[in-house]
Amino acid sequence: MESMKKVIVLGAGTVGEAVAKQLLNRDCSVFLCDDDSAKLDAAGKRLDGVSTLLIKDLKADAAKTIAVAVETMGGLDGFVCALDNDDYQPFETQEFTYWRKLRERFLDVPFIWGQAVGNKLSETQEDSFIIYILRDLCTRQDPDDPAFCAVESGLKGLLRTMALTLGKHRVTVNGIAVGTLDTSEDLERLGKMAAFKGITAEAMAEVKKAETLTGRLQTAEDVAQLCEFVIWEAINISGQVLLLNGGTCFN
Amino acid sequence: MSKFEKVALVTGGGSGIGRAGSKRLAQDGMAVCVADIIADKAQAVAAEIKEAGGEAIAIQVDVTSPESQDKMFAAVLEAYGRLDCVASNAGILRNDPFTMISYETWDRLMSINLDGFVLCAQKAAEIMIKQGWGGKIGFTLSQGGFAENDNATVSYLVSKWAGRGLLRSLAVKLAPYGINVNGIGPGNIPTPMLDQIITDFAQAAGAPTEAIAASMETMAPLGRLQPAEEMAALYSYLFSDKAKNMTGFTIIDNGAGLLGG
Repeated sequence: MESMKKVIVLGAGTVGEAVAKQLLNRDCSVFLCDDDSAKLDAAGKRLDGVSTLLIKDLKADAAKTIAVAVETMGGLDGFVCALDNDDYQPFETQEFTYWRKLRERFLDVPFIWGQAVGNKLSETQEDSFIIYILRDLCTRQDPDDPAFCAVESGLKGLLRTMALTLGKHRVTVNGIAVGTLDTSEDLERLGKMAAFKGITAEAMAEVKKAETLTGRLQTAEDVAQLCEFVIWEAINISGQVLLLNGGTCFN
Repeated sequence: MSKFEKVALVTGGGSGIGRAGSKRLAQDGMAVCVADIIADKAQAVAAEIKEAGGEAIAIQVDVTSPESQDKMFAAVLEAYGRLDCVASNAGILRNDPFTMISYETWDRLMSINLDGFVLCAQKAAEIMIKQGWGGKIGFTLSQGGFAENDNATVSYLVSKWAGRGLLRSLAVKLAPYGINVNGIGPGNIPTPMLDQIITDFAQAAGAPTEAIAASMETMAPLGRLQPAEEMAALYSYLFSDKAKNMTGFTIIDNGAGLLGG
């Protein structure tokens, strides 16, 4: 009988919730946290058995939150970073404050949490995992979004180095790089991008759909299922970025 | 209008690759704006260029500050009335293992190495698009932006990966305006930055600096450190008409050192 895994999921948006649900279905103990109270409350109400914690500051409160999670669950086997992005500014007129927010949320926060969780998991020297849900922008160019490409590419470099550093402590580190998602957050983001281009959000979503070979956008459930595969089946895979983007680009 | 055919701006131009790059671009006939956070260093390089018969000005800049970068670009336009090539080269390196590096250290490095790229590219693109005759933007990346490395330079490496992601997208975005965006990916270059790495590594390993320095030389299969002038030659090529059709690319010049994908 498999032992119950204890997992922190950072991000209670559509993807984070789907991942948490998938893990709960596998009888995991899940600690779901976010700095967005509305999303966290909503996810907490929908997910039976999940522990939730509202974080005030994703950077400053990382170590504290992880300690609470470990205490609540009685240990820690893994971490899934599933922060979502519903914001967009075009590079031409991008404000410095927007760039900093983007960098902090999608590069600095993954670093801070990865370091803290990695150090914690390393203590036990038992098989454990870190998974980053990132974007396929980490591996391709997108003239509509150079800034997001930059932070995601940085995250790819980070996770590869983390895999090397933490591998000797039996911690795997992988990424799931998704294309455009069929989620409310991504649609909101597409809407902002569409407004800049002078088209509708629906038209923008069609453009993104047409870029895939499969003719469909990824769902949060697709991501959660790949997450499950990485945790239970891909135990010797580390330092990899698995593309889940309908073939929009290849690795 | 400038009497010079091309005007180049080099950030971090006061030392290392930036210094060599500034001098090489001046030799190529460009007026060079040498920008550095240490004004004395920028002035010294500008003076060297002038002494050799070239044209240069020195500009003090803090690349982490939008206001400071704005002033830098304004100074370029005020001096020469145009801008053709920008080498976004300013950067630092910190030696702290992934498991121990503090957020303050990480943030400082990202501010210089990554925010610096973003701000510089944004403003350079704005000016070049307005001018209407294209231009060249170059990033000093690193072999580390193509590989993983279980040593103490994780924040540096991540900043270069991120720079690479930025570069590729900007290349596509700016191509319609005739602006080429490329990078150079040095290996171990004997610069003050490498001296710092050697000292830090020696301290961490409890080994003599000479031994670490020797290991740096043999790290790459070609078995030599590359002088900064060889990196300057890359900028010279990328900013020339010979590289008209090269964009979105980073030239790795590291003696077959780290070869990641």
